[in-house]
Amino acid sequence: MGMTVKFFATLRAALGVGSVELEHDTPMTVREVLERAEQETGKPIMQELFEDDGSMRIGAMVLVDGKNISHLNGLDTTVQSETLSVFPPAGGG
Amino acid sequence: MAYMGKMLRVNLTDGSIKTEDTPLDLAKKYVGGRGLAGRILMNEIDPKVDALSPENKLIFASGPLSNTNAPTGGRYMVITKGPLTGGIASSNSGGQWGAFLKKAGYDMIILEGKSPKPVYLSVMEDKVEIRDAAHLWGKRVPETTDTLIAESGEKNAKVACIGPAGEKLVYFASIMNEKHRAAGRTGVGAVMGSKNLKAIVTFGKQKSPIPDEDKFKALVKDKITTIRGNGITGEGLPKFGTKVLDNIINENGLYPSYNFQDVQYDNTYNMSGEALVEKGYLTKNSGCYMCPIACARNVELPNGRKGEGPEYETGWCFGPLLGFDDLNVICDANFLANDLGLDTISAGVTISCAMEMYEKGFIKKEEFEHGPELKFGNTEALMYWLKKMAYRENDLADRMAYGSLRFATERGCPEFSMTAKGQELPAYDPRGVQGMGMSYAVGNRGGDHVRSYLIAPEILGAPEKLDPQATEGKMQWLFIFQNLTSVIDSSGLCLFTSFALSADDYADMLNAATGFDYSTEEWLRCGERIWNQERYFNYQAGIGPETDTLPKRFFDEPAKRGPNKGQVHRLPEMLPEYYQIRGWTAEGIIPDEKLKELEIV
Ligand code: SF4
Repeated sequence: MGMTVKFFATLRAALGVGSVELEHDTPMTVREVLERAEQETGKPIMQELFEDDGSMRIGAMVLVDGKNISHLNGLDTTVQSETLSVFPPAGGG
Repeated sequence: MAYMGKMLRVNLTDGSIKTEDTPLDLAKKYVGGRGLAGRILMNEIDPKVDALSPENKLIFASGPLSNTNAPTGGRYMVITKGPLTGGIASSNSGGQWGAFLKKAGYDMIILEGKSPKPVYLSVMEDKVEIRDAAHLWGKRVPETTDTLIAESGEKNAKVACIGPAGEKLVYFASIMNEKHRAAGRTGVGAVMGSKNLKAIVTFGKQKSPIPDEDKFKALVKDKITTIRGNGITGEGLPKFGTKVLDNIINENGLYPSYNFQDVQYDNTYNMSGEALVEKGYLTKNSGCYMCPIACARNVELPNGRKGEGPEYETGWCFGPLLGFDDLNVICDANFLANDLGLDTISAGVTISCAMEMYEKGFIKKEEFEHGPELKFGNTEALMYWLKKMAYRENDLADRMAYGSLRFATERGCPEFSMTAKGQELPAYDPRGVQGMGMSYAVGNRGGDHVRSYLIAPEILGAPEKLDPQATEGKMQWLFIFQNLTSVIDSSGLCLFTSFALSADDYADMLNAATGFDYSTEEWLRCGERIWNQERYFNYQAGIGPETDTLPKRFFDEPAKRGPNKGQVHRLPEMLPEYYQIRGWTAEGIIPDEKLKELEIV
């Protein structure tokens, strides 16, 4: 199975890529996907998104097919072939 | 006490200029700016007057924290009865002008009547005078600004003016200060034009009196640290400005395109804040008076044109909403709208309404005369029709200059006007964000994103993450956001501080600056009073609870795709609860007891 992880805002610039494609055999959790993405890009991602206590930083978000993981099962949300969109703290109005 | 204690009353009919004391007893109840000036407007005009008649008044007002070191303390508001909604208009702008009004020695300027010929007002610390503006009439914003700075003899003077759109009474004309900053919405520029007032120039060096300077300074330092440490105000906004939202809102499935016929746009990335940086168009960031966030963008295009912007809303309504994503066109159109003095949101959404009307046969091809067709995806149409609307040059553009609701209604298709209370909606589709949709429906100036920005909790997770599709509990959030925003606006600060600061933070700063000793609840109560006062004005102007709604599309046409696929807006589930939380009748009327309890009557 394949899935796409897209990066935006400062994270995109820091990683030097707009997205990564991951191949996997069994369903993964969002946490595993992000860890795999860290390995692929060789750059930290999790620390941009989460506080030390594991809570999401204000303004950061991870979406699974557009749905915020805060309203799914957080980092334990399982995914198979969905698209992940990852935003570091950002916002405005 | 933070207030300068004086205000100007200028009668443009007879040319008289008077200085009066700022009513501090009222300021204690209505804070300043939007709140205080709204109250004064209510006291002094009949809400039923024609917005563009001499009987309407136009108030430029600062807040108590304007011209202080408080973070973002440079804002001012324009309060009047607006032509677009027919209700109370209050448009807020940044830059430096608001601070300089106070540096000249005044909390606000009340303009009355109508000048027999074009004039401008010069408000210098030592002299206030009405001057002839015959040589400026017809001029665009940049030329007007440069000419007036030169005439003032003071290179740091600040200019707020209208462009051709305000002179021609376009119902969504803006007032521009320092060329790029806009008191944009609700047609305040048309009211200024109707009074034959081209501009107001301010300059002075006075400081706002603060009772305990050291205490205030320490507090301010603390709040700036909080703002800098916040992910949104310390990182997101400074790096990308508001335009970082394009991808966020599109990926979340509430980015309206093709006049809100769709909830996402395929090529959003091409015109997003990220693309603006990657393409090298962004030259530097800049900020308003005393702003630690500095979200403004300076842009230079490959064609050599320079300017500020585009902000998120403008980029959207000059691009994906019209079915294209050419950043050059978007930026150029933004510069043009600023030069002409047009509110970008209402201008863009009116053009998108016309595009849908043409697509569905409500506009004939001959009506374009020799101009480009108003067709989704036609980049040439945007600049051309912006100009035509501002100058009201052909019959079609002249009708569009009344805003999309009047335009579509007179052709029998009001359903294509994406407005609430007659004002064009901003860039968040109500089908994807239930609370924000309610904010448009019950807003005192209708389609608007800055009166209660529920996108913060519903999408961005600030101060906590709410499910955008949930309806339960949302109305309590709306109530608090509306009240708090009323206080933030009225105090003279920028709404963006609220991503980081809490109600307690504002109460601390206001108490230290004004010398009042209000609890946070009491400040929020001032916000509740302001909100109700505005609604009461609207009610008396003939805008009743029947207008607390949204365009039909959001109830009848489910979102076509994305995470919100199949969703509609669920207003009927929330409206009764909102009325109840507000303490209004089930019909949405403010009962007499509530008006008395809030000391409005
Ligand atoms: S955050 Fe942006 S709009 Fe607000 S005061 Fe600062 S620069 Fe101006």
